Amino acid sequence: MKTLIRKELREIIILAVIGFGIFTFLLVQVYRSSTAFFANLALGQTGWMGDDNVQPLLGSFPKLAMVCCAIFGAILGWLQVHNERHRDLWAFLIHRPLSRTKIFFAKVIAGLCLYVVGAGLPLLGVIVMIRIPGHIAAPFEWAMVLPVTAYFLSGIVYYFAGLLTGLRQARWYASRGLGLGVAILVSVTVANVPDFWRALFLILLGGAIVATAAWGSFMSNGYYDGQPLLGRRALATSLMLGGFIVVMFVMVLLGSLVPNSFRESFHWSRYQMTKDGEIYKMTQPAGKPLQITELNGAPLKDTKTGRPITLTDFNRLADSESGIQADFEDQAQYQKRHQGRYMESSHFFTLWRQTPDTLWYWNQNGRLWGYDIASRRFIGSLGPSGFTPGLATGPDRFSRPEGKEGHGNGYYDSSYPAQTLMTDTVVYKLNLENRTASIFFAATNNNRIGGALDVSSKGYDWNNTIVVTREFVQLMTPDGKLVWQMPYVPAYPAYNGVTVSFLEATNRFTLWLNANDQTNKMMGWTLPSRVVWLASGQGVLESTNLPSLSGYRGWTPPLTERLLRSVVPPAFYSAPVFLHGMDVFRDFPWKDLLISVVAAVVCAVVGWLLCQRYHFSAGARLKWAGFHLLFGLPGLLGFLCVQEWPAREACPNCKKLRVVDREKCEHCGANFAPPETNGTEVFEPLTAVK
Amino acid sequence: MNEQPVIRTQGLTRYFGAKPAVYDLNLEVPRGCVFAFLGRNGSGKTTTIRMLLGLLQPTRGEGRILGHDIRSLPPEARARIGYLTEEHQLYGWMNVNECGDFQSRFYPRWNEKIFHGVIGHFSLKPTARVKDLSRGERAGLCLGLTLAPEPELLILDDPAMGLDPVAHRSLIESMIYLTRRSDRTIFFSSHQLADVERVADYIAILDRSVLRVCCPLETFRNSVQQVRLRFPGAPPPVPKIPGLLQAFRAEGELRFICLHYDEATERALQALAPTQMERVPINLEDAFISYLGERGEKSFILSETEAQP
Amino acid sequence: MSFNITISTGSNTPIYKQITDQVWLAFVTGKLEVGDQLPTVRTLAEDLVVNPNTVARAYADLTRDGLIESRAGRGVFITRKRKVFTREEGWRRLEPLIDAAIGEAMAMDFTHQELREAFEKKLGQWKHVKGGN
Repeated sequence: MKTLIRKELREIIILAVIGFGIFTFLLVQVYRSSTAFFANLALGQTGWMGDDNVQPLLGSFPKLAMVCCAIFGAILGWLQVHNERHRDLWAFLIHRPLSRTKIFFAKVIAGLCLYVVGAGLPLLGVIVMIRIPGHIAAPFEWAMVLPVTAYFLSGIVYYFAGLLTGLRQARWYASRGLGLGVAILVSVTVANVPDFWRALFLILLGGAIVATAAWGSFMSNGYYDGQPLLGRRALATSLMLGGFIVVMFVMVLLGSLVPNSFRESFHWSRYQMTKDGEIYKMTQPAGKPLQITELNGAPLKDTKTGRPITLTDFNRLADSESGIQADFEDQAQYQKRHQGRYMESSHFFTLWRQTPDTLWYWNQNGRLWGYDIASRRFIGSLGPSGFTPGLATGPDRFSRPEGKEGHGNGYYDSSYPAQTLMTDTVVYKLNLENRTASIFFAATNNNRIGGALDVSSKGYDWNNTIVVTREFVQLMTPDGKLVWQMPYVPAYPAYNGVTVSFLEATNRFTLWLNANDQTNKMMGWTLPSRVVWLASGQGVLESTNLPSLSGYRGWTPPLTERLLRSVVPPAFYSAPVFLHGMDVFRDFPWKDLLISVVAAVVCAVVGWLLCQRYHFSAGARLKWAGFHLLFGLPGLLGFLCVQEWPAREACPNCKKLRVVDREKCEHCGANFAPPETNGTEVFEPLTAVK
Repeated sequence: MNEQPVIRTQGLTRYFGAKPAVYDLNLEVPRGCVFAFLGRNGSGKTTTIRMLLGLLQPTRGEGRILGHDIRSLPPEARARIGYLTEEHQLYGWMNVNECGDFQSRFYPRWNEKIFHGVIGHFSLKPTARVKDLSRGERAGLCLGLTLAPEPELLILDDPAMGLDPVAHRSLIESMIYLTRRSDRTIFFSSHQLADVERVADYIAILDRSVLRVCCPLETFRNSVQQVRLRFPGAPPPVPKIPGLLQAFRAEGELRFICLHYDEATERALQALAPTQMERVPINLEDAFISYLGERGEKSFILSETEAQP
Repeated sequence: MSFNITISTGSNTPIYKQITDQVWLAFVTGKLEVGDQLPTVRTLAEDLVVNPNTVARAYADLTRDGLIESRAGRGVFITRKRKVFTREEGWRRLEPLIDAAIGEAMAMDFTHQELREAFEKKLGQWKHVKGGN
């Protein structure tokens, strides 16, 4: 077997070198653009880069790896089979005293070794470059290597898919490439699962399926019949998964033929306050234009034209608002829930503020990590009790800054007046020049901090901070003085949305308290929103309860999406459970599952009839029926692609059509007729010579 | 000595789409013989060979090669079977020595002398790359690689195709050389009827996917008879005679080539009232060609297309 | 031994028959004498590039006809041990050859007289015919 491995290596090494070269070149280009960004910052040029791009390991490298590893793996696998495409050369390879499985392993070992070197070494190289301090001025943790690793490992699935594509003898050339569908599915799911271990599980699962299918096809020279059982099962599954991708694509195509099928329709309603403190209602009915009305329902008219006001004009009248989602949970718990997927940068850090010479990141360990822009080196971390130079950790931590929740919205907004950070009980004001944190506001006793937000209601400077504690909502100045303090009534947890409107008149504000959506839903949307007009120094001027509008929200999916949902196999509805655990059942799409099951039953019937026609054994019919019930239309597609339908001929005995690959007629049990003689046969028994 | 046939098939059938390429093949190849497998292009010879070697699944039927089921040939059996393909395909980037080295590592019984003997016989340079070799040189290399493991059963698929006369002769000589060992069997398909006449003990003929001949070579030769009938004027139309292979019409005579010439045939020919009827000897090549060609009255291929004078 | 066998494919005569005919011809024309050694089956087969079974069959026919014999361990030799043919068998073997010669001659428009003269001339040239003219 070693000889074969060496021969395989020799044959594909050129491709591996080319792939290595191209991949390295691309990675280097991306790396250099990242370092160039920091170099430009050092030269005083301002600019912003999303959280995703400032650390290339989480932004551009995974994207590049996804594409390059996939292409490289697939071509490598395909080429290894394509080398022996001539059937006589294939015979030369196969006809030797070595089991076919071992020949297959020799190919795979050689291919994977070259893949690991060709795709892995460049990745390793850039990872090392990023790890070395002084190159990238952004946080580095070893867990950041996982996204790139996940795509690198997915490339192995593409490798086996490439092998399978090269091996399959299929009548429709398109069905040869269906194996790649599995790999694409793996890539897509790997990008969307919350953590790396789930991604790894999917990679191993997908890889095992395609590898077994490739092995099975290798054993039978690319045909379906004659494969070992495991190979056949794996091939059917692979083609089903590939068929899933195809069916999705076709549905989208079909949908594009119907006009407006991509348009989703929303309907919602919300309150909007204007600078003078008046409340108006904005309603978006499904498919109709937006309506801006007064609370009594009368449309708001533009005073100049007399006609209903336009959205742009209305927006000019709108107030300046800032809102907090109050949360009194233990900080660590909260953070875990909002940490974001392992592929997102928000899982690790978010860029908090940039001073002229330093970049400050809030890191998931709760400390502010500082990076010197000129040298791009890590300086140290800042926590509530002060700065620890050179150390990334410290004795205490800040909560995640308000307004920088996870889920990929990490665009650094330089207008955001990031000035304070909070812990469970204290809001700190940070002086980044001196690298100190001073107490801005300390909550007393049981009065924990539920949220703190810096606002710049006029212009870009910091002029206020909203602080929410268990008992109060208060507005403070940058000096730490209280502008006003309101009781937090109705209280948490029923009400967790706190919004402050800054009105045009000085010292006029409005406090909004909005109910928690889940609680409100349970109460049938009866919890109102509380609105309190106040003036600093004077207290409450007015207050009212507005009926909740949250229940009015709705969304109709576009036609394409509904088409897609109907072809998702019933078995795939278990995926949300896999991804998100049991609490997915609260909002489970039962109606879609029903449509999916009906579609699957139809497919099972079609499959049953086909099995009947070609006289499959009873056991085979049942197994395929089960397969179709589980996997619906993609399953049927896989079934059609996988089978090599035998020809049918008239039986010499009973004259009915019978399949040619069985000795006995399925109707009458007779054999096939021997070939007709024509009088020119010459037969004589042969005796052994000598 | 083992009396089992080295190859035995029962009802071996292979369909491509709706058409059978091989239909209900029942073949037995005894050990130690030289067996020629003949038929026109597309009659199913290569398909049969690929099925025997486990490179193609039969649609129906059974086969055994060296006692093993063809659908599941174990690796040890492959060590005892040599297979020379039509196209003599090898890895283009290897050179002659590398090919030998590569192959030798797989076979426990690799006879280096045989390999170098064949290589030398075909005058192959050890460092020549396969992609630079001519067809005949590649054939020689493949032959060396196939013979060196000293296989018990040698399967050759049209081995002489494209060979120059010298290479061709070397190939036949190698086949004769192999018959030194009485336990070695050669199974080959060919279009070179001269080779078949020289080396074959037995022949089998596939006629459009059906086996119609399987007998010793001399039996076939003796079964085919050529008879010339002379007539005073224009010869009468050709009657329906069982076993008639071909008939040729010329001025004043009819020439028949028949199989299984017996009294019934003689009477049928006499009924045409010829002035003279005589047996004309026929050589093996003509016998094959008339067997494999279209049945019935023959005219020369292009005579209908010539302009009338 | 200045005796060479050549065979050709594509002839009306089977190869084994070509061999036996040539051995007979050589014996009858004096190129081979009693006691001369012939090549072994294996040697002749490889020399002529034909299947050894063909050579073996030719030698078997020659042995049956009493022309050669195989001596254990030493080889194959020309011998004229005994007359193994009955007269009838002999005529049966001879007649087709005479027919063939006459047929060819007639086809080439030789007259009966010319043929008879040629035959007599040949007989005169051959030394080993019993009961000569």
